[in-house]
Amino acid sequence: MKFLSTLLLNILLLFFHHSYAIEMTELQQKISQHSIIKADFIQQKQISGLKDPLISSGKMILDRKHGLWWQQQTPFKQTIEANNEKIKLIIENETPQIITRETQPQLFQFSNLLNAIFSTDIKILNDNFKLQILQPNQTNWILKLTPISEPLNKIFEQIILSGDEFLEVIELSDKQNDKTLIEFSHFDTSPLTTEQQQLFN
Amino acid sequence: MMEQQLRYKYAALIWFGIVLIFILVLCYLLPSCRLNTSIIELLPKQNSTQKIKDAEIIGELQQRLDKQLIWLIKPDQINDLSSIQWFYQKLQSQNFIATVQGEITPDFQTEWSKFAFQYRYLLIDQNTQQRLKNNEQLSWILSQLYNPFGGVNVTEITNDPLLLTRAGQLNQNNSLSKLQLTHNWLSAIDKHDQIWFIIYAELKQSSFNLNQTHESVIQLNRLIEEFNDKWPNNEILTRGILFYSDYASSQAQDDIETIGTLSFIGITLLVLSIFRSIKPLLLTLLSISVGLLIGLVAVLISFKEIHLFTLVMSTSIVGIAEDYATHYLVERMLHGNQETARESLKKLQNTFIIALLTSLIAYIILLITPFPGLQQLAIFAIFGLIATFFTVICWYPFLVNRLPVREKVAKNWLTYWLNLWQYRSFRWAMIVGGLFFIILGSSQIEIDDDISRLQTMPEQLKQQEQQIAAITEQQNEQKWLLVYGTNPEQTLQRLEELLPTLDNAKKQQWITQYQTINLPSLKKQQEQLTLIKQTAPKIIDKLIQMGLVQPSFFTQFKATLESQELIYPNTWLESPYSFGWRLLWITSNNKSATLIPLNGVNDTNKIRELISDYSGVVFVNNKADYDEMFHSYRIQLSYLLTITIIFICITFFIKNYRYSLKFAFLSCIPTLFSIGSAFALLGFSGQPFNLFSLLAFILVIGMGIDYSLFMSNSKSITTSSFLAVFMAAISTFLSFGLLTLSHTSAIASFGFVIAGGLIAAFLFSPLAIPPKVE
Repeated sequence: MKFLSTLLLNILLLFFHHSYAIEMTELQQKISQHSIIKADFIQQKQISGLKDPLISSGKMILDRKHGLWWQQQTPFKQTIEANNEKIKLIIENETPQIITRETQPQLFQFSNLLNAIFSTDIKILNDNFKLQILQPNQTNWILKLTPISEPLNKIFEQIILSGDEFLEVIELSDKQNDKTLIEFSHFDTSPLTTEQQQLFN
Repeated sequence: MMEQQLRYKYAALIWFGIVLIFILVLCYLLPSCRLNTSIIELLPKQNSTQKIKDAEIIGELQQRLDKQLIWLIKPDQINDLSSIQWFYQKLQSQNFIATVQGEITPDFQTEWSKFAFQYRYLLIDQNTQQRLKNNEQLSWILSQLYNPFGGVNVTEITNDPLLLTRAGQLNQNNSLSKLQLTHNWLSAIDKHDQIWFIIYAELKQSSFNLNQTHESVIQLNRLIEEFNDKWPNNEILTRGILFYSDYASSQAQDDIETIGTLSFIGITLLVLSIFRSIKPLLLTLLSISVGLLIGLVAVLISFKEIHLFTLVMSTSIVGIAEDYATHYLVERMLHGNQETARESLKKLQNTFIIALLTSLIAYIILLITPFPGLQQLAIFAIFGLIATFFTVICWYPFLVNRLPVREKVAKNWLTYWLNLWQYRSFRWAMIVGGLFFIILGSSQIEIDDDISRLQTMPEQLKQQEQQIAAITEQQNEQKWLLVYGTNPEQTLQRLEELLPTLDNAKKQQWITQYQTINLPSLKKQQEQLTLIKQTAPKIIDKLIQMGLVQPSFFTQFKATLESQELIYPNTWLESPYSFGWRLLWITSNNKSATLIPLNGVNDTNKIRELISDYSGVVFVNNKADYDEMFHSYRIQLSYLLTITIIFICITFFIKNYRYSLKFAFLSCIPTLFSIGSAFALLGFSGQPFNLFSLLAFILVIGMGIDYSLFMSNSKSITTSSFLAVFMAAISTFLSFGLLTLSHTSAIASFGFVIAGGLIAAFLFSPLAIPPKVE
C-alpha cells in the first residue's frame, strides 16, 4: 500500500510539475536555441522629474559560453564585458573598472543577475523572481518578473521581458517610478568573427 | 649572659618593627601600584620612552579587542529571523554586556547616509579623486545615469549631481563589502552560498577578570544551549577571547584545586608524622610570608609596579626560603634536649649565611641583565631571601619552645642510606647510573620558544574560530600596524602618507588586505575641498547644458562650499559613520593612535622594511613579539645560569680542596647532577625546554646549593643534616613537584624540572659530606 501511494504521489507531482513547467521549458528552449546572438539596441530611460528621456544606443553580443559584451555607442561610448568571473566596465577610453566575485561579491552578484535577464536564464531567474507568463496562448511570449530577493525587491517594482525567437524588449520599472525600455533589433546568429571573439578575452 | 639575652630580644623586636613598617608601606603602596601584564614590557628597553608609550597604546587596544565577542547564526529559513532576534534580545539583557550590534535599522542607515551626504565634499573616495583629477568624473556620472540598473533618481541628481555620495558608497573599503545587509541585519555568505547573520557584542569588563569571566561564560553557554533547544536546525558559532581566557583560568583553577589539596594534605601529613606538631608548619608559613611580603614591597618601591611574570616566578623563592626554616626545625626536634634554641642556631648560622650569600649572588647576576622581568625577579628574591633568613635568625629561637623532641626519627633508615654511600662500588654505580640517566634524557630535550605551546587551546573553540574567519574573511591574525601621533591630526596625516605604500604592498601580494578607518585628516579634507572647487564647476556646467541639472544649482553649490564644516575626530566618533571603525581609533590624554589590521602577511620582514621610512608607524606582531621575548630571555638566562653554576662549582671546589682533590670534585656532583637530571626528566616528559622551565632551574640550583652546604656543615651531625635535607626535599616536592600534574604545559614543565632536580639533589647530597679528618 505504501509503495502504491508513494508511486501515485510521485506521478501526481510529476504531472503537476510538468504542466507548469511545460510553458517555461518551451520558453527556455525557444530562447536558448541560439548559442550566439548579436543585436543592436536602443534604450530609453525616463527618470521621473526630468523633462526628456535619456536615449542611448549600441550593439550587444551574447555568447552563452563566454558571456555578454554590451557596447553603448551614443551619446557616449561605454562597454561592459561580463562573464562568470568578472565584470569589466570601460567608459570612453578610460581605465577599465573591474568587479570580481572576490572584491565586491554583492555588486557582482547583482550584476550577474542582470546578465541572467539578458540571456533569459530561467533557472537563475526562478531563484530571484516570481515568474509569470502572460498571454500563454500566443507565439509571442511575455514574461513578468517580480523580484523576491534582496536587494532586487528594494530596487525594482517589476521587469517585463517579451519576444518570440529572441528577447526583443526589456521593460524595467523601478520603485522610484523610473522606467527603462530596451529594444533589440537586427538579430544575427552567425558565429563570432575573429575580431568579435577577441572581445571576450 | 643576661646582656646577650637582651640583645637577642632587641634584635627580634627590631626585626618585628621592620616587618611592621613593610606591612604599612605595602598598605600605602598597594592601592596605587599596578599589576603589569604586558608582555612587551618584559623586553629590553631600547628606545624606552617611546616603547612604553607604544606598549601603553597597544595594551589599551588589546584590552578593547579582548572585550569583543562575535556570533554567527545560520537560520533554517533565510526569511525567518526569530532565532536571531531572540538571541540578540537575550544578549542585550545581560548585565555584563555593554553593547550588542547586528541589526542595522533603516533609521541608522538614513542617519549614516545623511552624514555621508553632509560631508560628501570632504569624504571623496580614492577612485573619485582620481577621476576628478583626470577629468573623468563627468563620463562616470553619465554612465550611472544611463545605466538601466543605476537607479539614479531625480532627488539624487538634484541634490548631488556629482554623485559623490553614491561613489563613496560604491567604493567603500573592500573588506567591508564581504559583509552585507540581509533584512537589515549584518550578514555574510559562506562558500556554499549560505547566509550567516552576525551579532557583535562588547563586554563591560575586559576578559581577564576571572570571576566575572566565568559567570559570563556560563551564562552565554546557557543561552546557546537554550538556543539549540529552541531551534535545533539553526547553527550558531562563537568567537571571543573571553572563552579562551575562561578555559585557561578554569583549567588553572582545576590545577590549583587538585594540586593545592594534594600538596596541603601531603605537607601536613609529613610535618605531623615527623614533628608530631603543627607548629613547624605555621613557623615555615610565617617565614615564607615575611619573605614574600618584603620581596613584594621591595619590588613595588623600586619599580612602582609589579609584573605578573614576577609575581608568578617569585613563588620559586618559596622553595629556597623554606630550607632555612626546615633545617632549623629538624635540628631542634633532634637535639632539643641537649642544646638550647640559641645553640642550635649557632650551629647552623654559618651554613645559612653561606647558603644565603651563594643564592644572593645568583640573583644579583640576574639584576645586571637588561630584562625588566628578570630584574624584578632578582629584587624580589634578594629581599625575600634576606627577610626569610632574618625571620629564622631573630624569631625562631623564641618561637620553637615546646616543640616535641624526637631524637630517633627515621634514624635507622637515614643511617642505612648514608652508610651505603661509604661503599666505593655503590658510589660509582650511582654516579654512572646518574650520568646514564642524564645523557639519555638530555638527548631528548626539545627546545621550543613558541608561546602557543604554553596553552592548550580547546579544539571546539578553535574550529569555530576558523569557521568564522572563513565566512567573514576577517582573520584574527593579530598582526597590525600602529600609527600614532602627538595629536589626532598628526596621526591621520601619518596614516594618509602610509596608505599608498600599503596599497602597493597589496599589489605586490605581500599582504592580502588591510583595514583602515574612514576618517580623513583635516589637511586632506581641505585638499578635497580645493579639488572640488577646481574641478566641479566644469562638470556642473555640462550637466546644466544637458538639461539634467537646474541652473540654480550653482548658487546652492557655492553656498554649500562656503559654509562647509570640517569633520573633527569627535564629530566622526559620535556619528553613525564611524560604526565598525571605532575600535581602531584611540585618543586619550595626549595620546592618539590608529590601528591597521593586516591580513595575509606573507613576509613580516618585508613589512618592517616597508614602514622603516615612516615615523610614527610600528608593526605589531603580538605572537612573534612574545616568541622573540621568550627566545631572548631564554638565551640570556641560560648564559647567566651557566656562569652561576661554574661560579658555584669553583666555590665548592676551593672550599673543599683542603680535604682532598677527589672530595673537591665530588662535592660539585650534587649540584651538577641535580641540574642534569632536571634536564633529563624534562626530556623524558616530552615537555619543551623554554623560558618557563629555565626559571625552574634557578630554584633547582638554589636547592642544590642548600642541600650540599647543609650536608657539609661540620658542626652539625650528619644524620640531622640529612633529615633536614630530606624534609626540605619532600616538602618542596609536595609543593612544586606536583605541578607536573598540571594541564597547562608551561606549569607542568616547571614541575618536571623541579622534580628531576630535587630527586637528584637529594639522592646525591651524601656526596657533599666531608671525609673525616683524622
